[in-house]
Amino acid sequence: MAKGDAIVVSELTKKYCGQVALNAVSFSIKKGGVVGLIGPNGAGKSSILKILAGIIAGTSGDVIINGYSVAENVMRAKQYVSFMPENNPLPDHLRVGEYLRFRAELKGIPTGKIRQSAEKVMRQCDLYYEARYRMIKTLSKGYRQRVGIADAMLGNSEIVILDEPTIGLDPYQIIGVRKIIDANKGTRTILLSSHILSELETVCDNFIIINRGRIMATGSLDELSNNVQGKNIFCARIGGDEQAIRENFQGVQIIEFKQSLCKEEYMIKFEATEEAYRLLLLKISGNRELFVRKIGHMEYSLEEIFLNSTRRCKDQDNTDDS
Amino acid sequence: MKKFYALLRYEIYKLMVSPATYVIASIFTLSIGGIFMFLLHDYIKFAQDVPLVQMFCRCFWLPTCMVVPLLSMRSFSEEYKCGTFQNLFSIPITYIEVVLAKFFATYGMFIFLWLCSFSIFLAVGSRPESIVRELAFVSPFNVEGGLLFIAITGLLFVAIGIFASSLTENQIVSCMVTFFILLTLFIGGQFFADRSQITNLSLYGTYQESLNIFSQLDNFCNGVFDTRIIVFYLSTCILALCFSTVVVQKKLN
Repeated sequence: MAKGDAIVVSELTKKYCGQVALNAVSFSIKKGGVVGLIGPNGAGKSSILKILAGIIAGTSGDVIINGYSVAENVMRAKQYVSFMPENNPLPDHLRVGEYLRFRAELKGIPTGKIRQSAEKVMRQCDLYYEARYRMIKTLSKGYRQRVGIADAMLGNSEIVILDEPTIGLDPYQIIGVRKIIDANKGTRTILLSSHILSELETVCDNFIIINRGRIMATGSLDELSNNVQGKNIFCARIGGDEQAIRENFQGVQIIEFKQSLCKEEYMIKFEATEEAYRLLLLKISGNRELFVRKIGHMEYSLEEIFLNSTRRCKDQDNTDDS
Repeated sequence: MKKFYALLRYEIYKLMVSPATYVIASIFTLSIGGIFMFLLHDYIKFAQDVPLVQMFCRCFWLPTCMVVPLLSMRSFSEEYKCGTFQNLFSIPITYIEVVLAKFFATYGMFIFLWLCSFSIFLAVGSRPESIVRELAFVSPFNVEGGLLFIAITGLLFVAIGIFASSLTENQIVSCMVTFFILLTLFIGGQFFADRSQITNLSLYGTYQESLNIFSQLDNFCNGVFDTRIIVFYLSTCILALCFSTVVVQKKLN
């Protein structure tokens, strides 16, 4: 385990009645990082998160939380983790304030600081004025999510795990959650799963893509982008005559050539070696008939990376089957 | 320990704010009142050898069979159904702490209801003109012995209820399982005791004492406190709670 790692997962496997949910999953998360866990439904995201939170045990492999093995010392490891489960189940018979104080007591916050801690998170999550005295059963979905997030942020847990925290929230509330995560960036390690990829792209530094119980890719958006390409794919937006552009691009393999919304401007996706790319740059920069608006490595959105990674897994499975 | 007390307080609060608890308490009080009225009426009409309290305690199986399943059925089943169960275990608490908190909260409510029911004797017996007092039916030793017996057996009955609740997320199923186990204990014990007397089998005879709840009750009401009986109920209660802990652990994984 590296010194700066908050979570280290090694060869983690989980089986439910013989059915493999996680297959020798390994990854690590640095302290203070905000990491997004992405995967289609049934990929094993919730199983990973529950094992990290110490709720369920893995079948084999290990998880190290702040140097403590979840398999060997689950109680110690749990002290560092706060978890908000998917769908955020809450006891309906309690008021918001009562619930958070109860959770604070269970989390081992000193008696004198329980009220203060509960109030702090209620203010952070916009619950203090509007929902403090309300019964949980009367809360809307959005408020319930906020109570769950407030519970996860309660205390001084170094690692916060949020399973689908923005589900059911309106755009204002999503911005609110983003602010809370941003406020804790650097001080706490946050691991969150979500299907809203654009949302994760905004908040997370790193990503873990999982599909059918296997890790497909890990890293920052740039790293994942490079990983997806596999080859040197470039993208250019160039103004000028189509014929002149095509002539300049003769040394490289054009994948896509299409006219942009602006007249006499073209979007070109091409594959080239680094050397060929440098030569191309020299060529087009010396050509006064062409206006280079943008040129560089192809940038993928998280959605494209995700679709590409999961599709590759599907293709691989189909090949194995055949 | 602090976490256990927090859990216990939470469980007691959950019982206190639930309308179902008050319905259960009402059913219990009505059944107790009915039994007492019926017995008192019988006592006034015909002379009896057995004290009223002992007779009253002999009927304890009926309210127990009704109340224990109803009180305990929600403890785990509801949490399984709502999903709050997983939320609870995301915090560093042990399975046994959760099981014990649920057990003691339910057991506390069970004992509270019985203490209230025995106040009938206090109320009736304290009146100077009371016919009960005149007939000297109420002896404090009988009351204490009867209550102690109910408290001791209650440990096992409530533990069975908690165990049944840990098995399923369906409260009705949990309630029915507890009811039938308790009924089997009451009727089965009596059946084996009767059978051992008829057949005179030594195998039955050995376990007769620990199986026949009603003969144990008579002993307690007469001031004979058999420690073997206490150990028997305490150990079976611990066993049932251990099983509950294992089931809860398995359910999570």
